[in-house]
Amino acid sequence: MKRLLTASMILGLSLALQAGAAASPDNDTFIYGIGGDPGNDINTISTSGRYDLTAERILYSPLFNYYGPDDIEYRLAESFDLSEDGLTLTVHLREGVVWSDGEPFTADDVVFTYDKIINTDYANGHDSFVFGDEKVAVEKVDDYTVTFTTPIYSASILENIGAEHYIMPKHIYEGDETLDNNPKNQTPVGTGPYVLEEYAAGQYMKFKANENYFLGKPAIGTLILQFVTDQTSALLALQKGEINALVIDNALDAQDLDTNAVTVHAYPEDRVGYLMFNLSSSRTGDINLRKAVFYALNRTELNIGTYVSEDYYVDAVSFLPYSNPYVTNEVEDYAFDLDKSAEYLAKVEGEVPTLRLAYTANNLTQETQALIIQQELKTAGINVELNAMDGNALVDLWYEENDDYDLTIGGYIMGIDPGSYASLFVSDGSSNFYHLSDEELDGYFASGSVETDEETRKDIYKSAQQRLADLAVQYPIVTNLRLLAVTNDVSGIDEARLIPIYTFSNFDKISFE
Amino acid sequence: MARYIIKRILQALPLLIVISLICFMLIQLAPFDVIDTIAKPDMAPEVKEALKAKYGLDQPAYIQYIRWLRQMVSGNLGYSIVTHQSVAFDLAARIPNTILLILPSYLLALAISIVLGLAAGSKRGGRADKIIDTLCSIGMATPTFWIAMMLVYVFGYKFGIFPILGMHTLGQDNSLPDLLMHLILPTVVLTIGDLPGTVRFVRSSTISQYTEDYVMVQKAFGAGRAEILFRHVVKNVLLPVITLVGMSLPRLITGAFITESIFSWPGVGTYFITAIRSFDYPVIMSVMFFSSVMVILGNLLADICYCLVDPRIQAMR
Repeated sequence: MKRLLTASMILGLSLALQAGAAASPDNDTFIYGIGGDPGNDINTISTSGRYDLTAERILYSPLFNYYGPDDIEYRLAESFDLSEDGLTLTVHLREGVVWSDGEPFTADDVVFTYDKIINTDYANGHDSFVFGDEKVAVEKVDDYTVTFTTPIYSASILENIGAEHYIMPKHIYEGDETLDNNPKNQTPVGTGPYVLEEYAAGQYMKFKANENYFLGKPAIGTLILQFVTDQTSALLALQKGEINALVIDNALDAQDLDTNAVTVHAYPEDRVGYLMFNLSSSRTGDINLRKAVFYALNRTELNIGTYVSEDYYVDAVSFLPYSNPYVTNEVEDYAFDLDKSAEYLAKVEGEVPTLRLAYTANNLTQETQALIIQQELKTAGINVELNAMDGNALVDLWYEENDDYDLTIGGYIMGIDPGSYASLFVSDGSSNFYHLSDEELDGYFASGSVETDEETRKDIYKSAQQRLADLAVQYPIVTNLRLLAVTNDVSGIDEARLIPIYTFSNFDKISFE
Repeated sequence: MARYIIKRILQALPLLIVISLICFMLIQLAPFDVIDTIAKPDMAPEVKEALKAKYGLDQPAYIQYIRWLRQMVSGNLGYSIVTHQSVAFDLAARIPNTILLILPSYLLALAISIVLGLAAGSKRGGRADKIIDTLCSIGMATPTFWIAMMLVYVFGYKFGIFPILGMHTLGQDNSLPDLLMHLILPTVVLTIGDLPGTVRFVRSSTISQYTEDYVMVQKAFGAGRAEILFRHVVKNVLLPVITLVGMSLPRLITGAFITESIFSWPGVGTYFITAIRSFDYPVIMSVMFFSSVMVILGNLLADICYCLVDPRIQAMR
């Protein structure tokens, strides 16, 4: 018996030593913990979802990254010229780029990719290339020059063409009927900083540095997207060093991390979180009631209550995030004022109705916001009934005109050009969940999208922001920051540049100290 | 016996169709579908419609069901609408991982439960019975996720003995010691989770056997406590345990969601729940189908085992 015990103890100890030694990643492997399994079917046409897009950006490259008119990172494109009438964009491609299988990258690949986007009606961004019956024309001029011609002027042509469209290899996919559910997606050939080495379903995606990457071989040899399904245990694994990076869902957790092991980077995702009125409800038509509600809310209290520290959010007053080049603060911000709220409430015709606030169930942020809003409005004499709903069911309800709810909490991440917000607010907008119909506002978005003078455009969108605020349908609450915790042995986070959705703009710039 | 088995399998087929029909109907009853999950706010309605058409979601429910059934019969489980990944590939990768986690922990729990249940039941009201019963009450009242988090915190983080995430340390996919180290904490959690219920089952079964006449007869014949317990009672106690084991068979397919989540174990549990959340019906239907098969198979196996173990049942048939 004693021998058996000793033998099992030795076995246990040796197991612990072997596994313990391997628990921490080495200095040539960066492990990023992500909250889902993207699957191994990444294609650049219909891949959607945060993690799939992250994998896509690791494997493929776009023509350029568009972060604003003065902030463009050139990738497969070396430069571009926009014709004077703004209708034709000529893109000059980088020469000498090769696909990860060694084949040269040329204009044929660009034309092939964009043709697929334009002619596949469920492709990502497909609607930006179609104007009624007319479509954007993509033509090859020579092996390294491509032109894009739009049928009508679009101020957001650069963002629409450059942003989030990754070029795929024509020599691999040519002639294939389908791009998703295509077995070739399992062995992707790209021009991104890394190439796929292994996909383990439900476990991880392992990438190795692309020797042929046109911006130079990445500093770290192996990059791993490790799928983690529980945030609490993943945070412990991060502090222990089992993984190198993790996005923190709850700001409270960020405060408890061991600062000797990890650093939290807070960066804008250009997301605007807001409270909005459902104008299709019979109880929300009175603007006095809407203003009474907005003045009764204390934005600071709401945000500190939800995001814990001022380091993790920025107050929002406009429908644009604070980092947008077109944002203005010269709008009615509905600063907390109970007297004003009472004034407007007194003007409400008839009895003040009890308002129904619908929000996403099991979403800690929204639950906190809903409770604070309910309390604050109660102080102002407005009763609120809370209605927690399944996220998808709630979004479905937003599309319909209905009386089921009056207020709801939401958030969006849209493009950089303010024109991309039109679908949210114009009368016939596909995502006009407010059920708002205002000619003046429609006019601003219509003229903004075709205006060529930059200063005039800024003025137009300033007026749009002011008009929306005056209508008192949306109460912008916050541009919350996304929190990425990274182990202290990792460097190059600034160079890698933290961006919305994909987390890193340049995965190749991440390195170890 | 062979005829009986064939008869039971044939009886199960319409049952499977009914189960799949109910599952499909429940998915259809929801006020939204999988396209709402993958659609983005800036997606035009035409693009959403095109996506629905692509996945056949624009067709009436019965056509969608017939299409799914035809696919299943031809052995094609289809593709996940969210990740575009083949469901058969995903399940083939995940089911072995789930079995690897569930089977040892269940067998361990069963073995311990039989010992503890017999010990407690054979001396009802004794000190051992009281201790075991109290521990079972505590075990039943303690949520599995809490036990898991405590173990992760103490043994994974504070002492750093066991790895916290996944099944393998990266680069050590073929290392058995590494796999065992990853397996220990989740196995312990699942074993602890399974113990209280099974111990109580065995205990109450033991107690009821002790009230049977044959025990009194054995006592009258002067049989010792050990002889009564091991030669006579155990056999009868273990009989209903067969049903318990049979009923647990579907877990090999559906996995253990909470434990798999906490340890990021790449099993079916997390896969299934993710699919349910996003209404990814090809995945939901496949997992439901296989777990229904396991329920039917589990019951069938239990019945067959009963016949083999207990000659009285065979005689009755």
